[in-house]
Amino acid sequence: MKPCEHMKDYLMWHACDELDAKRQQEVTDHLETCPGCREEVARLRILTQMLRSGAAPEIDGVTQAQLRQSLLQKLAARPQRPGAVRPFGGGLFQPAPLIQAAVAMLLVAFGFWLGQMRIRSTETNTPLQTLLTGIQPIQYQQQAIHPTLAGIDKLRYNPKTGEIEIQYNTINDITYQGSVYQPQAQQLLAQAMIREESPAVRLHAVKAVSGIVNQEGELTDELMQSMADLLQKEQNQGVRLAALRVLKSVPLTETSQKILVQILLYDENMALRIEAFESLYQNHLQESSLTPFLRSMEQDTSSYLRYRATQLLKQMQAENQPVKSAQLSREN
Amino acid sequence: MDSQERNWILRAQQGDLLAFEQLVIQHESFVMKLIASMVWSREDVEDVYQETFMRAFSHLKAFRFESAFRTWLTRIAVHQCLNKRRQLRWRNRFTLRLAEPEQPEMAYTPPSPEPTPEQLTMNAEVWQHLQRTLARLPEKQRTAFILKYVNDCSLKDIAEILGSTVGTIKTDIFRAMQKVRQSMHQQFS
Repeated sequence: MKPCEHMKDYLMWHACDELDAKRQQEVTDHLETCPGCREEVARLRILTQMLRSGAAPEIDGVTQAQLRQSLLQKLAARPQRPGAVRPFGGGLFQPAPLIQAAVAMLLVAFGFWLGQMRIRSTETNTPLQTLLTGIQPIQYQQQAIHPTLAGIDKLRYNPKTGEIEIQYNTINDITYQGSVYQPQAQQLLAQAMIREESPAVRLHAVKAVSGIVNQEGELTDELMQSMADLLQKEQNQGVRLAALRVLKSVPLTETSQKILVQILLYDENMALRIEAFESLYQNHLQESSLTPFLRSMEQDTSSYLRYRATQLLKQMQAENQPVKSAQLSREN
Repeated sequence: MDSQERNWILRAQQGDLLAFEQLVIQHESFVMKLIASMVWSREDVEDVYQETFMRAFSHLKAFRFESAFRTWLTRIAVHQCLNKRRQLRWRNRFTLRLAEPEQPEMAYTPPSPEPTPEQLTMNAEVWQHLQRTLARLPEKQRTAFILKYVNDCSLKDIAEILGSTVGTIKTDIFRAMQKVRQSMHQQFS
């Protein structure tokens, strides 16, 4: 016989006396009238009994006594008292908590002092980084900002005024404020684009550089090199796209041309490839240099690039036709 | 907690080994039953027994009489059992690659006072099947189930030992019981 569905949950706890008195009584009353539930409780009690008495293996008294003796011998051989904290310094001395706290505070104070000394030394002496990188620190409002200093907290650029504000995440709160057209600011931006970990900071740096391009129409060698490095190493596609758009507005250099061609031919991101193509085209790449790319692009997987290549090749042929026919007639 | 046990604990907290021995004598059967149900090789049972009481002695000063001593001790034993099981899992994983053991974790056969051969065969068979069933249960369900049905702990104590609520423990034990019964039914009906 099967137990009643509504009692199933209680029978198990009834069998091991885990119900409250009222519920226990209810179940007992029910069992008097229901053979199915009685059978179920009997089965549960057999299993419970078996688990309690027979199931778990027992260790005989002799073995247990031997185990206890071995345990007590081990405990007696232990050097420490129960609950004792292992002494500081391998047991040489055990300092009181107050002394421990005092030592900890002294260590913290020493750390701060060491930090301050280091900041002062960077202001007065030539830092090691300067010797290694050859980049001089920038003196700004009585503070020395090293361009290779990483950890920018905020980089704000105002396109209307052309001002930037760079807040470094340093203990002595270094902040730079000034025009993006200043060489110092450009040096900081060039380093920020390639050194900063945060893609948001790198993107703001690129946007600030685009402001410089809009105003001056060209970039310094250092900024151009940083843009090239950024385009080669950057993982964030948004930052790369922004950088490519900046390159579109500056005259082509040998380095930038190489990178653009590389992106156009090998990059996986179609938006970047199209942008690289437009950049190469708008920068008036010489026809002789452009033609081989256009020929290879006629077979491209991108229908847009195929269309643009075919269109441009036709346009170039049409432009060359009258010149050639004029040359022929002149020769004749 | 009776006054004598309290006295033993206070003395043991000061490093009195004789008082601690009394505590061991009073609780070792209970602890051993739990360990033997959770860790099945004889060697490992003995290891866990020693580790449990060693740890209890070295941390005795942390016991502040907020719970029963047995509950506090059981919590240590459960942790040691689970640690040992984790070690065994890694050991078996490693040794399985080197050489297949005949019966991992199943070497212990239960001794019984004076059983008849039939009883011995049946008990051993039932116990081995129970072991296999329990081994397949999730860790939390298995521990709660063993504490309830092998060690006869109350739901409140189990909740305190495992750091859970009575409701959760009830659910765990209920589910474990369903699985055990289903498995026993399939095997022996």
